[in-house]
Amino acid sequence: MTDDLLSVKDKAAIKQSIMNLLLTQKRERLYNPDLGSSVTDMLFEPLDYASAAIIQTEVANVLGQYEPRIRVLDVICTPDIRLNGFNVEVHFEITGRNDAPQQINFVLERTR
Amino acid sequence: MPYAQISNLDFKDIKTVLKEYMRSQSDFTDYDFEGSVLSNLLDVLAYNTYYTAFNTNMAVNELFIDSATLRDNVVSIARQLGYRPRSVTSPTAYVSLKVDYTSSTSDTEVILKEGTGFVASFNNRIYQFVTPSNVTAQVVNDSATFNNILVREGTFLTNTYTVNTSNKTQRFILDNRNIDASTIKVSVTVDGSTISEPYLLADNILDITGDSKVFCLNEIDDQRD
Repeated sequence: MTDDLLSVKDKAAIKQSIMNLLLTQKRERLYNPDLGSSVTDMLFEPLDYASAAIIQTEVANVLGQYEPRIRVLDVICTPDIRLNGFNVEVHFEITGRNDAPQQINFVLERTR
Repeated sequence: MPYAQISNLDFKDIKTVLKEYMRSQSDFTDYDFEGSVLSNLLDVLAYNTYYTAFNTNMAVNELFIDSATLRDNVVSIARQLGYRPRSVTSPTAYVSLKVDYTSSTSDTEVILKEGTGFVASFNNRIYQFVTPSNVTAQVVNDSATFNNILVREGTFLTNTYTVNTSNKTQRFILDNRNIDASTIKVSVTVDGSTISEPYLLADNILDITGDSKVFCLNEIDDQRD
């Protein structure tokens, strides 16, 4: 190992994996079309609580299916008119450890 | 490190082998989780391996006459073995016809020139036939009768090339596909002369000298000769 590339480990690796899963669109990965989420498709739906609820369910489903290292405690998704996107909070705990629950926050925005 | 099954041609199997390799060392972790960056990298590596393996497999298949699927490759291998595949064969018919002069003539013979066309129809389809060589009939009592002259389906074509004597490997390519190679005739006219000399098809190089009037025929790509 030359350390030319930095590798993330532990909680940071899990958080990176969560973001990768959520920002990967279905049919994007080779030979694994089901991997990923459809949250990016939802960003072009009306910016309201109904869309937020769908995103919330999608996030929980994707993480439950593809990230066995965590147990999702809660997903909160709220529309943000000012940012023209959705604020997402994911609360989770790492399975097999007695760490404090973790949280990851991000904004889902349309990119044109 | 476990035994790597390098003959895998399946993407998932290749990725599994790469994971097995990762498992045998401790530098990297989380390759087992599909969301990880390392899993993404393994996808790229596996796809690259899969692509190369598939391409190699197909290329090697084409090297052997038993498994080659592209005609050009089969022809190329057959050529090394001394074989030239048969070309398409033009349907042949024999026809008889009579030519009557409307007035008295002093002609003694009538020549049906090579390339003379005949049109036949069957089941609402038109079939074009040509005479592959000159046919002569004697005129008797102001009429000439051609008996059982051979005609072949297709079009009669003449291609003319200029020989470049400085090019020792010059090839003359007939651009039309589906030529009946058995009907190919070659004649050579020396510059400034009006007499053309026929050349014969050589099947092998035995008994050929520098003065032999022969030509060699090979099928090249796209079934051209």
